[in-house]
Amino acid sequence: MSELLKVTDVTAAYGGIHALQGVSLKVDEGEIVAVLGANGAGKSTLLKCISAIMKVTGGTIEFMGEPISNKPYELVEKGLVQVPEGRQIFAKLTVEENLRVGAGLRKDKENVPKDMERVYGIFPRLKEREKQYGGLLSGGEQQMLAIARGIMAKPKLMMFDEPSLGLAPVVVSQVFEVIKEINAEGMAIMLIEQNAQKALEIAHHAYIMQTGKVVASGTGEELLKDETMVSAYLGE
Amino acid sequence: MFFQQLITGISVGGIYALLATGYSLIYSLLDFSNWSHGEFAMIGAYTAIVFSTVVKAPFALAALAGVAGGALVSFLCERFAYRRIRRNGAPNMFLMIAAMGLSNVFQQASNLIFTGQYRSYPFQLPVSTVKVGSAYIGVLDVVSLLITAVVLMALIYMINKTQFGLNVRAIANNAGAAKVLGIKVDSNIAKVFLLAGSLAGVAGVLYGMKYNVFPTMGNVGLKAFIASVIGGLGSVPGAIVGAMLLGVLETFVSAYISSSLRDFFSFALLIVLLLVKPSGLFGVDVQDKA
Repeated sequence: MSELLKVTDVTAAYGGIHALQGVSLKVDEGEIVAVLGANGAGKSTLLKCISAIMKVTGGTIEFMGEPISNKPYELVEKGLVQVPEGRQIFAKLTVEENLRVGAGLRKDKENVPKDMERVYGIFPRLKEREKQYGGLLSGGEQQMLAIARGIMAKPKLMMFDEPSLGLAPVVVSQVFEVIKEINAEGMAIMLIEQNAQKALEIAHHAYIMQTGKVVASGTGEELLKDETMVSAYLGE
Repeated sequence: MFFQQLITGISVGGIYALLATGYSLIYSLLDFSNWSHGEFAMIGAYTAIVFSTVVKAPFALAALAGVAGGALVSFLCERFAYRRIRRNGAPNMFLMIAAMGLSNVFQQASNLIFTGQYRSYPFQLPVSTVKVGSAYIGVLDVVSLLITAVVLMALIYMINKTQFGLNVRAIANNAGAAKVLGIKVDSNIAKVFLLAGSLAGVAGVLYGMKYNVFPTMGNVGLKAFIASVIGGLGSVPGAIVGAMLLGVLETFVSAYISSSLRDFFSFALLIVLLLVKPSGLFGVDVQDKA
């Protein structure tokens, strides 16, 4: 399988504090890759670097064989789309409008209505609330909307930042089901998570980060079995 | 008499609305009140004067030049002043202070260039009236009202039905998320300044037709600002309703009480409204649940 995202020896800092100290990882086509770690391990910083919100101080990030652009809209155009932490849906736009913002950069406008129907097929709840304001949805529904909005951009790689944060356990399971479902349709997934157990269950490959470094990696299964590893680094 | 005043009031309100929507659009994106906005109307009006007297262009062309003039200066203010201040990460207060400074510069500059003299367009503007029932309505008011209605309807369509409008509303709602989703934030802000400036240009030309053109005419922006606060800052429909209310109120006060009390009533309405409903008429916020 060919490489989609390749992060090589990336360093980044906030002021003088080194948040990333030489991180390398990769995501292949069709894969679910989990990046795990406790608070402050540098997971979100890594995501900010990949999505051009933050500058790297060293190393390279390549998407489909090319260095990533420093303009967020070019990343989205190329197919690198983020489902941000805390959902960040547009509270004052309707569900339908939120989805249309997601599709805003697409060149194939004629396929947008079809994809809208597809997304409503995955999330029937959103169809029911199509004309409601995003801010009126429940937390779980907002997470679904954020995912649906990402799908509308037709990404090749979707990056999730803590999708289970602040959600009830039953909703968390639904979110992970959906992630598996869209992956099965061919979309590569990068999953930044604190909920290691759940993430490892669906991940093909996983990296464990601690204080700005990758300290372990392997297939989801391997890491799940290796309980000492998980408890040592993730504190579970 | 009543009907006649009502039409005049709506026509005045229409001019306020053209400016008030500009305040609202910019406030919704950048959270600051663009105090130089009224001057774009003045600049538009003078551009039309220059085109019709110096270049001797026909009125329609001069009016279009006026609209373009307002749009251009508004765009330049964003590009070379506000954007730089934003990039420096300065608080929004700095934007407002810069806008006040620009407003002063534009007023003084037009005073130097054109002197304080009142100028009018070198065209026979329709001064006739049409009789509707028992009322006489000025043709100029009707023309101004129609132009305003068409422009405002186009604006509402643009905001609610086009991808550009959707992007602008998304940025207004959550600029960070909009950026992550690939919306070009700065370029959309620049387009909004062009749009707001051209609306101000329309207002300036219409205002100039009604009351002549003079360096301090941009102060009408203050009334438009009141209107947009009444309607709820940041809301385009609110700005239109607030502007109509204010225009009609002022006209009725002038007609039935005294024109010297006009501004007293405008500000009184603002104060009462802020006491009763601080977020303005349309300033209802949908609460974030996250």
